[in-house]
Amino acid sequence: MVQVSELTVAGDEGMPVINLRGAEFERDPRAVLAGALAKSPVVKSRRGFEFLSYALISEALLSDKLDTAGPDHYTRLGAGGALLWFVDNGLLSTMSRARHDPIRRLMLRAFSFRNVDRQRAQARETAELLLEEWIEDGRVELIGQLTEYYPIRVMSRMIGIPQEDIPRFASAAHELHLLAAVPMAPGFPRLEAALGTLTSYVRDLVAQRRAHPRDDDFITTLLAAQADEGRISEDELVGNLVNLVFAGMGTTTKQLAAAVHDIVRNGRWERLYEHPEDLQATISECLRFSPVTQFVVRIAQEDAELGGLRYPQGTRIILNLLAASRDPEKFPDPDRFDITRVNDESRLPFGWGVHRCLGQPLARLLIEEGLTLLTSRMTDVAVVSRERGPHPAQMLSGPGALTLTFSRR
Amino acid sequence: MAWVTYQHSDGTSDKVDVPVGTSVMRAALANNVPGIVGECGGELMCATCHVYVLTPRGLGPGRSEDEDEMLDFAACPRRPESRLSCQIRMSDQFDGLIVETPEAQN
Repeated sequence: MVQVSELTVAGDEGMPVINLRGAEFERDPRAVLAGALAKSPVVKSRRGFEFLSYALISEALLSDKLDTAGPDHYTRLGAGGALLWFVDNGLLSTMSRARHDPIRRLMLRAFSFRNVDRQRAQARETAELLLEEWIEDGRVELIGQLTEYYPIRVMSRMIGIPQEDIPRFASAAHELHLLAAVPMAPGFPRLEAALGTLTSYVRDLVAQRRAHPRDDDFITTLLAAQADEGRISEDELVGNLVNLVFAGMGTTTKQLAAAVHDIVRNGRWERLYEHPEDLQATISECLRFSPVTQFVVRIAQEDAELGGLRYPQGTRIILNLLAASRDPEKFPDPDRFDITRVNDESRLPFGWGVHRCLGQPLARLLIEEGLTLLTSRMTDVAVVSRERGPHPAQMLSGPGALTLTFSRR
Repeated sequence: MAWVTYQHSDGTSDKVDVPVGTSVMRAALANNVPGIVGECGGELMCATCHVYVLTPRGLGPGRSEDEDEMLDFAACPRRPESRLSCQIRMSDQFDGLIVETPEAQN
């Protein structure tokens, strides 16, 4: 959090300020952002300078003068030992490029499109098993009865975590959403406890797998790379598994539920069932319409000129993906849900550049298989209630609960 | 400037005049050429700017170790003439370069 009055760069006279704590932002953040974007592509808030326009964010994502916050950011906030260990060893986005690059390439062995595509059958089977538990009921709370369990089960199977272990770490894994909280510091004690649980679980699992390798899981692949190529230390291996397995699952949980909500509310459910070829375009539009990741943070690594203003080294810049996904310059009539838009190359939902979401192929596959299954088994779907999730100033959004009624197809 | 032709799997092609020093990936993005994504921004962190170099022959083997590793993760099968187009910087020597874009990048 910063004081808005302290945010100044040359030439910013009259730059709009958005009040993230105001009732208006809480009620309708998109309207506040749209109003601000109409005046200026960049505004100020307590989070920092906020880039709102698609064009400016595209420029920023590819600028080599901006990068994610480094580990010292967490030290300054007063993070404790387990969190600092995790930031140092597991949080890819905070690592120096020299350490980050070889580890990220290694992680791509799990998240390459071809490897992820091999998970399709088990994803379908996992979702089906969950659906069978409530399909006769005609009513479901989709998050608590499907999307909270489905991504973590699929991911665990892909990585090599036994399904029966999931309850041992599920609640600790859920706590990692606090890493995206604004402000973050109040969550530090809970993060310490959660990271302690996750790290010791993964450390034991890795030791077991080293003693008893398997053919086809990612932990074994990583261990082989460690032994043969020496490119990842034990701490980095454990830290990155914690990061990949646990930090990514909450986003897919929320994004799939948000997609179901938007498809139903915009009258596209039956059409999607009848036209499965529309699936990719529908998902792209859902990701634009209700992006779960609402912003990402960048720090100017040196003085950076962007959109005609010069930001000094150390300036904190928020890339507001929620605002840009409704930028009328890029998406005409942006509040209309329209699957015929050409937005499949959008840089927004998963980011762009060197820190682009590593799990994107898996997230997409989970949403594809989830929507295909749900539309093929449910008809007459209606939204009974959608519980608002976190405060809209948080980094991650998405419904807290989504209750539907339906008939069996 | 040097010419690059991007041939697509649907039979169409795009011919682009590229400034010397610019990568074949960046030139595609700057000119809205379909079939090249380049999602990591040219940092050898993905394989979504994969191309097959048709002319000149022999440009395939000029790969670095990191590029070689990333090509294993391309959405379409790699071939001897596979390259990541972010790693091909245009020079006068490559004037007339012809690359084929794969059917899918992701």
